[in-house]
Amino acid sequence: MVFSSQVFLFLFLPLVLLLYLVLGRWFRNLVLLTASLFFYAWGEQEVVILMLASIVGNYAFGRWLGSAQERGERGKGVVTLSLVFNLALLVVFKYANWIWETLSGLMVELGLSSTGLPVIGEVCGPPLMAMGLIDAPLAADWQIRLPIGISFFTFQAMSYVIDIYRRDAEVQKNPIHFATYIALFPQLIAGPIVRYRDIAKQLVERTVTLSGFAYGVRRFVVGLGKKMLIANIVALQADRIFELPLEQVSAPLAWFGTLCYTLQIYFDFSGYSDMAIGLGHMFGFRFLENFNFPYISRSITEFWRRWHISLSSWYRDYLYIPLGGNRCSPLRVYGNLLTVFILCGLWHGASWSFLVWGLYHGLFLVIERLGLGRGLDKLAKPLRHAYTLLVVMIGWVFFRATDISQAIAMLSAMAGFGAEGAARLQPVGLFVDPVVLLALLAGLIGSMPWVRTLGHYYKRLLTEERGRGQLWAMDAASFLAVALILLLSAMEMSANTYNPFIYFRF
Amino acid sequence: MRGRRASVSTPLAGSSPGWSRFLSGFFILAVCSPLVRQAWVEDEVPGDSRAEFRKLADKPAWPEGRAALGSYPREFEAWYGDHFGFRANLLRWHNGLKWIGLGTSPAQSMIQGRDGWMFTTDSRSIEMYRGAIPFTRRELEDWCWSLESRRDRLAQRGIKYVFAIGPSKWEIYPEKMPARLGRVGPSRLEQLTTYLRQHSTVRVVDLRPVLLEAKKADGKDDLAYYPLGTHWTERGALAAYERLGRELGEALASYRGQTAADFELVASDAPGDSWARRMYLEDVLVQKSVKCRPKAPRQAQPQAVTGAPPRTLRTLHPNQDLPRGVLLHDSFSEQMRHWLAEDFSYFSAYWRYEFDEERILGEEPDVVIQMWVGRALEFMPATFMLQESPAVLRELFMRSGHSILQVNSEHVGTAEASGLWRLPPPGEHAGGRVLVHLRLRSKRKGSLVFLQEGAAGAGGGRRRLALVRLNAGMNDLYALLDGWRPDGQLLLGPSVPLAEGSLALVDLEIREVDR
Repeated sequence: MVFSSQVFLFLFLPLVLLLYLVLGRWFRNLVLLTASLFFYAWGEQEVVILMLASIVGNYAFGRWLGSAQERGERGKGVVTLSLVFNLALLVVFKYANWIWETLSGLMVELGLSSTGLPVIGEVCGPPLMAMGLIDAPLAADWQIRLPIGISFFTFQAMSYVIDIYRRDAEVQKNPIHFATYIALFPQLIAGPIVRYRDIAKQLVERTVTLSGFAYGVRRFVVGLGKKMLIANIVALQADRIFELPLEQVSAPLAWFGTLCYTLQIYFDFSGYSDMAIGLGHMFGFRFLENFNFPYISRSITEFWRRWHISLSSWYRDYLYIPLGGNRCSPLRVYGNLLTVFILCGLWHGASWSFLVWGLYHGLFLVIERLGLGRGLDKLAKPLRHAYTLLVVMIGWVFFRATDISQAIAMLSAMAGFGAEGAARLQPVGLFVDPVVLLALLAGLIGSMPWVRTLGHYYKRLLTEERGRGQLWAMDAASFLAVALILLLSAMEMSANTYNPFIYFRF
Repeated sequence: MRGRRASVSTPLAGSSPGWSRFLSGFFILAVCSPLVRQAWVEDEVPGDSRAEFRKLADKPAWPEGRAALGSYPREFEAWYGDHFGFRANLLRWHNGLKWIGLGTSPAQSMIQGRDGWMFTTDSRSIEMYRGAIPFTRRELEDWCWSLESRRDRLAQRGIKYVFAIGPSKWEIYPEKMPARLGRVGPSRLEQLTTYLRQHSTVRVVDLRPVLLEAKKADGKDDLAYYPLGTHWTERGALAAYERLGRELGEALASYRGQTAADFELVASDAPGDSWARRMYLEDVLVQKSVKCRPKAPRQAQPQAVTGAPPRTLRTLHPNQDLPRGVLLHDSFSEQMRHWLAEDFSYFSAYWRYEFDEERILGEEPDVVIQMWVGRALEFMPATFMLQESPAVLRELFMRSGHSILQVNSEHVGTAEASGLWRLPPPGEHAGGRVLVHLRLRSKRKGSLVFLQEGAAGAGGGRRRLALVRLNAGMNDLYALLDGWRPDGQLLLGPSVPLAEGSLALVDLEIREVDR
């Protein structure tokens, strides 16, 4: 179930909200936990068992660690075991297929085998049959299924155990509270990664206020609008362009496709984060911000302070700083940065493209530390913006491409080395209509912090007696904007169900 | 990485309690209202299945068993998506905003041209318009080969053959297409007619000149094609009918077709072919039409048809001196077939592309007319007609001396779980086009599919090379496989899984095509 679906918006959410608000506060976590498990099982069915295993396992590790610490021990062994447990879940369910295929290909390349490893279904089939989990052998193309949101809930679970180990958080003894933290549906499938210590108190005690709920509504609707009215529209064009045979992609088209994808990924991802934060407020939670207008950055270092903040700060606190952070030799710092960013790339998915994307960003961070950053500081602001956007957009090509060779071909086209005649065959005009233009315009405007500036102006008005009329007008405009975005998003959503032109073959 | 702390999302100071209450109430009302409407307004039809040209999803039964549980969420979401409260209103507003407000299309399957004209994007129509997917020389040769084979096969029985293409709307009204869709080459229809004019004597009727002529007589609500539809209007169809009649007159001495003078044009408020209804905007996007009414009473009497495909029209005319005719057509000839019925003593019109040779020859026609929509040049393979002519393929097979692969049931072994046989690798062959002759027993009617598996096994993907019909009992079949790559695996089997032992392969031979 996704937030931008009718089932969520017009069925699941109202029912859960009503139950949550009507039942007393003692039942609130129970309502949220039940709703979250249902939410996950709705899309993932039996894979919910995996999440339950993560909940049970990490709850047990937390209690074990707490007991060890009460006995005066540090609990290093327990935390190590918990990390092995969590990483094993990730490796098996997210990376095993890729690792297996890579090893198999490597064996063929090295001449160790003519056919590589047996297909993964042949290896996994017999033990699964022996355990009675399946009745028949697995198909030749069978692969281990990636459970949605596994990277998010596993990283949350790891932060819980590590925070206890570091004594940054208390052990959560109430299994309902703990399970609610891991399974909380607003941020379960697309983040932000909420660290335990940040919401530990809220899990036990929180209040739904009128202003908080209204703020949640605004954030949720803005996020929904970002997804439905911008991301989905430019995504269609990005997909069409990235799916074209590469000999039909000219330089302008390649840039246009990359621009569309640049806007798509930001508005899709930040839209989901906004919806999660908004839903959190409706239920009384205060989640951390996940995006802070990353496309206005003037360096890649700044970009990573503004992009997917919950992930980059997770890596900073749980990997980069333990590796030595900035307090070691420059060479070691660079090595640490590259390690963190390669892992950051792989966090997004098990493929070489993501690895290269992570390495690419890591390299720019290193280069900026080596002196480029100081050089950039001397440049005019527009040039620094241009540099950052250029680097980020090139990076997105790796992120979006199906494989490295497609990324390289796309980049060649962007550099003007595309096939001759491609611009005539597939002109950019084919991919632009008034709706796409509006989405692009909204995307460009929405990438800049205009609304935040308005918010500051609003705050100032609050303190001025003479600004009452303007305040009322801004409240009214804000309400109308939210109502309009909700209506337009619902209209777009309804259009997704509308497929009238499956044209009969006469 | 510098140490930093991400900010907690906090409510904007602001929104007075009154506005906060108003906004919260509005949101709860907005998200609950579809549910309330759905619960209370039981009889509402939230979407018009006829307008959308599809059956709206049914409410799934409560799942019983693990398999049903697995598919339940998907089925429920499909049902809910089709039936949630206010769906029709939201769709109507969505389509109106896009079509009228922004001058663009509300669905992927169409575009809005100039002056609010609608054009379908089905079957890569836009690419065909732009000339971005031209026929290759080989495809043009194949079309020519296919048409000539059919003509010659029918000629052996003394039957004339006429082939016509109903041009797509943009062939006649290119000025209504959006300017951004620049053309880069000739359309496929243009290519094919030019090629056939230069290389063949097969009767292919080019309807574009008469339709362009008909366009000159366009009035406000009287055009040759429907602005909001994909088809020609009745006046457009009449122009095409007259042109076809001239061709039939040349082919058959006994043919006496009607002319435009035999019809009167009557203005009508009926929209004709309009997609406005499919956009839920029929009251806003009004289209009128002109009907062509025959002046003389109809004489051809429709006959009850049994055992024929659905929508078959069969008529008998009292004037037995008229020729006998068979028409194979699609939606472009929906009206025209009733006019043609008046021109034949015996007339059968089959609404289908497939050519059932046995049935058609059994009707002893003097002429077979095939009229296809222009988009067929995209979705019909050039060799489609050849696949339907076993006699042509048999002759071709006999003529070819180079055998690439011969197998019998022992070589092939048993089929996979899916019912597909994997054929052993062939001898020396560069790949491309080959002919297969095979004999197999089938317990029931059905179809047999030939698949090419990529060199990387099933992971490399499977591509359909051909589909042939199967009869119950012993089948002696020929199939033309185009684009076969000998480095990949060739598979064959039933197109839908059958019970074990339903098919028994006797033998199979593959030969190079020698044309």
